[in-house]
Amino acid sequence: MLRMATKILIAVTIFLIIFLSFVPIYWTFVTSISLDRDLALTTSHWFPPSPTLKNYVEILTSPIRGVAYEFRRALVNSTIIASLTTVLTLFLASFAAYSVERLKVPFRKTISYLVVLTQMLPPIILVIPIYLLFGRMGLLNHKMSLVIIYTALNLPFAIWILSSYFGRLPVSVEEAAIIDGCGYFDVLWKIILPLSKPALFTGGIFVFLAAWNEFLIALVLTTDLKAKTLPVAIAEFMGRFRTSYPLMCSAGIISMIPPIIFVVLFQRYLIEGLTKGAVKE
Amino acid sequence: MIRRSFALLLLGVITVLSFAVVELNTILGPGDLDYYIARNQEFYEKTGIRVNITVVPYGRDVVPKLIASFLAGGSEYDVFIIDCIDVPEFVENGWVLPVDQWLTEDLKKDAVPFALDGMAYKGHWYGLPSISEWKSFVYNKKMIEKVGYKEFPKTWDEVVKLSKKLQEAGVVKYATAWSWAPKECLVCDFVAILSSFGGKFFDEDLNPVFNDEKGVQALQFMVDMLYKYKIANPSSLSWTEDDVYSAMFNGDVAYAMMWGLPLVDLNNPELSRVVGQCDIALMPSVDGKHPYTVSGPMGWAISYGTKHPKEAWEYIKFIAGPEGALDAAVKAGVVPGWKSVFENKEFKKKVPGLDKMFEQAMYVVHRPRVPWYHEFSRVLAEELHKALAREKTPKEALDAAAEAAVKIREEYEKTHGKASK
Amino acid sequence: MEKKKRRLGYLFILPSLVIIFFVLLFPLLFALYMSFFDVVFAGKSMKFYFAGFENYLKVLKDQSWWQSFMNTIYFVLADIFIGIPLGFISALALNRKLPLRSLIIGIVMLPYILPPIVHALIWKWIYNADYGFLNATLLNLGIIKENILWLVNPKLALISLIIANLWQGTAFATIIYLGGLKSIPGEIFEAAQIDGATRWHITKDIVIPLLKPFTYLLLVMKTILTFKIFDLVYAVTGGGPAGSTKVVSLEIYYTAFNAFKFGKASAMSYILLGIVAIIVAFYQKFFRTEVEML
Repeated sequence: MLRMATKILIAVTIFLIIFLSFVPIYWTFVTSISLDRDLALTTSHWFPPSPTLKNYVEILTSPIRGVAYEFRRALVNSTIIASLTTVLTLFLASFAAYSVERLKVPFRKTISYLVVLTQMLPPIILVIPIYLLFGRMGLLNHKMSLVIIYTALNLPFAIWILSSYFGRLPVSVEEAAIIDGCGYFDVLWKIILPLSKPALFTGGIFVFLAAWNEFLIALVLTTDLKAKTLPVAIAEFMGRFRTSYPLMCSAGIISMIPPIIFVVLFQRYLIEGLTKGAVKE
Repeated sequence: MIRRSFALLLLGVITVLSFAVVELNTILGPGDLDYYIARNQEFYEKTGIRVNITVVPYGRDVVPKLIASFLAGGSEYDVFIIDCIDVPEFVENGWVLPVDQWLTEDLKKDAVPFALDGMAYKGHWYGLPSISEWKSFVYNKKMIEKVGYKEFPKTWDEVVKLSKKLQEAGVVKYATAWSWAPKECLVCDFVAILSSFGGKFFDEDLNPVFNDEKGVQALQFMVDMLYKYKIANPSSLSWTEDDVYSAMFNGDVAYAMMWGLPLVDLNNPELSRVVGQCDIALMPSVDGKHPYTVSGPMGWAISYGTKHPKEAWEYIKFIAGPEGALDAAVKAGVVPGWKSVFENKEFKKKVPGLDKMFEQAMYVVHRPRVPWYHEFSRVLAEELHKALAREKTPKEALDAAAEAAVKIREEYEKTHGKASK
Repeated sequence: MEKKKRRLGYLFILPSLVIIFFVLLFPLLFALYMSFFDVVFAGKSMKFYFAGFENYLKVLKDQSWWQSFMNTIYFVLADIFIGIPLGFISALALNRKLPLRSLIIGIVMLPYILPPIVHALIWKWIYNADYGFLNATLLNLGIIKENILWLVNPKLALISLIIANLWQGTAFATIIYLGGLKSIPGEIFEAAQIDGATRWHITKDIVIPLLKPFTYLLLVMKTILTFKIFDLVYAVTGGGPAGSTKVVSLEIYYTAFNAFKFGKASAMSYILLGIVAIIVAFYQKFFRTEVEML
């Protein structure tokens, strides 16, 4: 069926994709286990002559203002904030997408346009007003404030991803269910959403990462470990280790681990979606 | 009866407690963080006032947070470190508290002039000098001895000759490196070199004069160091001060300019591989007679909206006054802004090369103390960079920057002229 | 029935609208308001001096602004014309049974997962002229004789950053297309193959059209998001060398937090918004897609 040439082409493509995605990170890792003075040797031989884990040890056990402690707290904060944001956003977006796509809510074109318009302003200009707004309400330095803000920022795209997907699903099953007397709520919850696992996953990843990696608003709105997020904490470490690339790279690698774990864990749902996929006639 | 006295007692305790529980908030970058934490602990033990530090990533990341807090009332951070180039802007915006009322004559007399000036604007003072530094010219003595030099040259021509010898002899690949990333560091270097050519930045009426022939000469020299003489590492165009320090610590370059008390770090075996090899020289100049360098004093200031001005002042005095500065100098290598500290025996013992440094301190040049400095500095940095990247000639670049300076100044005066009506 | 549907529609979409506008409405309007004034600070208060369209005119006449704008456009063009096709090809290649599938997809997503500051660090290190991996490898392979100044040479810096951005942007396109490909029922493939269609045919005439909504989504999202690019440029080059990597967000940042000109920064933001909105409207006309959302 598949000609040999095509097979090879595909294999090469896949290899290239993996290689190019991975290599820069490999380089970062290798730098992180090098000694400062060996950097020139490391980069020309793709592996350090005397690999050491001392940078990691230093970061994770150093008593300097409990760097490890701060990192852990920030990690917990980010996990909570990003997870809550994702759940809330996907939940609300499902309803909104359904109302746009199937319920044909009036003015949906205008609403869609306005909503997407909010995405076009750079966050920099929003930071000060948001700070003033939340400051007046005494909601600074709260995890929930960040959750609400991130939800607002990510809803437009989440709604859009989901409605693109909903639009592709054939209406036949829904129509059958409605004729059978099923309420729209149940249709959404019991029929559409289970079929939309890929979209939920895609949208979920997008929102989770957007919330996880957001920096500027988190920087300005948080002051202490009650709500400080990981990107802000990492930037601090970077600031402290500025004179040593190996140290900075170590901090970078450590900060990559939580998102990687998240993605690896939830990736299975995408595979599930593959097998449960299409409409069974 | 008993209940009433108990209530009174409770009231009294609460009152006393509410006075005792004063907390100050400050915001800092990650530099010397441990030192400040330790000092804050000492302050707490001495006065019972807690000082909380919010740490921000390095650099101007502090600014959005500070501005946001100022616009929200200014009580989120009580004290903070302010750079001399920030003072005019912050004062014009009404964000800092003047400290005239607490500044005694003794303090004024003890202050190193340029350091205190850095904290002053339009006749008032807005903080205490803490990091009162300038850029020193540091060189590796061992290296220049290898090519037969006993002293560091005083003129730029001689420096070029020395650099070429060093490179030809294989002592270093590049004789020097500069912090010429298109940021404030580039402007600082330019100001230093400009002054060493006898040039001036602005005249008394705040008109730009840096594009006169001396300015062009200075910038041309910077360009030549990269391309004509090839004595400076071309990566300098993307380096900030830290990269230059690394190069110096590693023995990759023979001389460079450094802030602070460079010899303290250069002799620290944990940081440097050239321990004991370096010394300080007076800034070279075009004719040996203009050994000027750029100043960069910083200080502690008080936010206009602080709820505890008196305690804030106590803290500033503790951390940046003469005793505090001595402590900071000895423990954290922070350059003090008080004459008494420079004359202190312990300080002199700890810091090598102090006499040469002090000599240099007599020849410092300030960057212009104007509220529109930041906007201008960025434009200047970009124009300088264009010249250094050989996209424009030095004259073109400096003229463009001068034009921009006038435009920025006029725009500022127009907008703020409206404000004072 | 229709009325019930409509009412339910309102109910379903209401919470989302409430949150979006609660959080963003004030900032958006505030920024719009500021753009027509010169904003001066006096302690806690901000004084507003009416300036009409002056801020807007100043921005449009500013050469620096246009340079940043052009640089930003290059990022967007690369993201769209290189990132999207590459993402499509990657998704096609990965959309099959593979050994260690989870791991592979995980790796492919890595570029997208990284915190922006780590992303910037990685590329800053790769492009480092003296010690970086790129130069070291090229030197080793004998392709170059001297270190190339990727981030220092004004002619190279922008391209270097664009590549770094593409590295991340392509991963995003891959993910979206992978999700999209899942939405195509397997039966369609089988039916086409039974009909004797070649793989190329299937791809061209079936897959691409079926994925149109996703392509459209990527097009719009990437345009909107890439126009706002900030973290990478700020952390790696700060806009240099010689202003060759200045982007619009950077200009706005400096105007607001360096020059403290909030009015002008707001005007810049709204000019950006206007331009992006026009481009997106153009996409809409051009695509005339069946997707309801936009």
